Amino acid sequence: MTDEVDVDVVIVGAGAGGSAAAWSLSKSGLRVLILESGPFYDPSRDYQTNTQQWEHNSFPHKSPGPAPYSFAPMQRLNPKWQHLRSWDKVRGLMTGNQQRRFGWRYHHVRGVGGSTLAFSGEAHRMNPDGMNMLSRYGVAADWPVSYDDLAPYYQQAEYQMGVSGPAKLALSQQPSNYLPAHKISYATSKLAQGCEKLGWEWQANPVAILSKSREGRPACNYCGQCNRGCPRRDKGSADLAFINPAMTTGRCRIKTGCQVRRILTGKNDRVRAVEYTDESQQLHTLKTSILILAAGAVQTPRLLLLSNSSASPEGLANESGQVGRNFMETLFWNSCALHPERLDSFRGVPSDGICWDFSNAQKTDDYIGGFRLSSGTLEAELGGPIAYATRLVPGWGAPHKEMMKNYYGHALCVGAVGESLPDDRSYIDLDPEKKDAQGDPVPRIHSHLADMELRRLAAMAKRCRKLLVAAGADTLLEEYGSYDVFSATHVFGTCRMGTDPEHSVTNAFGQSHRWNNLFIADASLFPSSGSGESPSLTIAALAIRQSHYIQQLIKAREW
Amino acid sequence: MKKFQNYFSLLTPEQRTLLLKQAENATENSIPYELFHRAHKDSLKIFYGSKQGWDFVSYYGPPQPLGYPGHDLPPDASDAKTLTLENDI
Repeated sequence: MTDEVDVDVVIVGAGAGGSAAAWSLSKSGLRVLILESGPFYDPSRDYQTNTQQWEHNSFPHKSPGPAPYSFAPMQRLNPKWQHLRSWDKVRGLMTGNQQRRFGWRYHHVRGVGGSTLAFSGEAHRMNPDGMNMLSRYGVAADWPVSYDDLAPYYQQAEYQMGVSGPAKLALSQQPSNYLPAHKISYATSKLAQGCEKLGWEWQANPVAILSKSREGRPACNYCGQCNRGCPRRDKGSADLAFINPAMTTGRCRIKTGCQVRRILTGKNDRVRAVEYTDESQQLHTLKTSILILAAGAVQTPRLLLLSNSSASPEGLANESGQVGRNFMETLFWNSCALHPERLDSFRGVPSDGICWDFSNAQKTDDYIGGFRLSSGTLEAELGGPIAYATRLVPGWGAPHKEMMKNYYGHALCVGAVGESLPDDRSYIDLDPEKKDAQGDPVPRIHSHLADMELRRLAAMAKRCRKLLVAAGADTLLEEYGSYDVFSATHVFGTCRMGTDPEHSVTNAFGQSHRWNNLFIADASLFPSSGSGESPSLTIAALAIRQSHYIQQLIKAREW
Repeated sequence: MKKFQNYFSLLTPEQRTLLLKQAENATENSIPYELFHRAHKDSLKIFYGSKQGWDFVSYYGPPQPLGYPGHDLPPDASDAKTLTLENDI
């Protein structure tokens, strides 16, 4: 069936990028329709952290659940990196005797708000030094947009998302427009003291979590369970920050449960329509004059590859051959230890403190690219007693109970997130066997960590352990990281932007080099991953910048 | 149970412990092994997901609706567990 809908822009996906674009475009007077494959979430009804059963479930994914994908076989483990295996006190090695890296999960949420529904609110600007990795160090690619170009859009995104943080921006030391920073938790104060001993700088992490009530939304009450969804609405997930105000313009509509399957092209290097199935599996064709893809760095390249035709035999917008290439992931490490003092470390904003000292896009003897350290106890989901009982405290019976009494509330963890560099062996393609509910190939994740990535990971692990010791923790209980487990929330790079159409998919505004009315507004665009910055804020800022560009094109009648 | 010719509930504490240790250390994927490890995990989840288990470890959850407004204070501070937010709505 052909939809007769009169809109100016169709957006695929209502995550950080799609939502921010919808808000900015609808505010400017354009009519927007978002096709989202997931449902709406109702914070007060869907996020059940107020019940006795709260710890039994993680984020409450609603039907149809996360989008299907698969993993290609991953690299063999090398005994040289044995000290980077993931383990805990109860299970020992988390991946047992497996000889290969294990593809565990690409963490994402399908729904209005996307993965921001489950994020812990980190709202980081990119480190300007990390945006020129090719010209500085000969790796990854340079961003075709500068930090200064992005700065005004960062400000808009920060206001909408309700970012609380330090009075000065972390890297430039310019005054911030943040709400006051949250007080750090008592547990995190131990890490701050540890940093001081080591001569490292520890500061409040900017987070899209209200420290003061604003516009009908309350301030955070420090329950620590952002990753299970925020029932109070103090976290600035994309549905609250962008979709709700977009809807109030009267020019933004959302159709949920709609899976876009193909993009159809027309004359003069323009896309003309999308094909999608609705909740009842009915196939629709929807014409559009402007199309924005914002389905994330796994699903966006998949949709482009699925949309091949005689006009674009290798996949839509893939004239450079870069669609799906340059896949970058979350290079991460987490070390958890026991602190002799009871800290009640289940309290507070999950990632409330951060150390950027190692995050400059640095070149050391061992590796290129940096990383950050941050408080990791709640990010590691060590909040409730069940997590302690099943991960940290071995044995059973009376000795187990005794240890539980002595351990509970004492866990202290440090997390590290580092630069992830593109590698020819890391990419997204179409799985030749596995299909989704509509019969289309699912995206397949190929991930390979080169030796330099592992050297950086080893440095991250070393710093995490060092900080825990300086913070007074005495016994390591659990460690895990990217070496033997693929477990990524932040994924990037699979439709990179650039100035050269030979080596990139879009220009600096996320506009396809060839298909004039096709845009991308998600982390697929990132030419490099950053050295530990969480991407949601940058995705939103890029999308707002893109929407201003679209408005200019329309005014100039360049359609 | 076969070993002691009796029901588990009628065994002495020492006999129960011995039996459980044998199941814990049985060959991986064997029935006793699977039974022990699944029952162990389930019992931990049930107990530490209950009010009794929370009281045992002095956990004052669930996380909502009150949260932990005294999160920046040591747990034994007199008002760490009773603070409420100003301007809460």
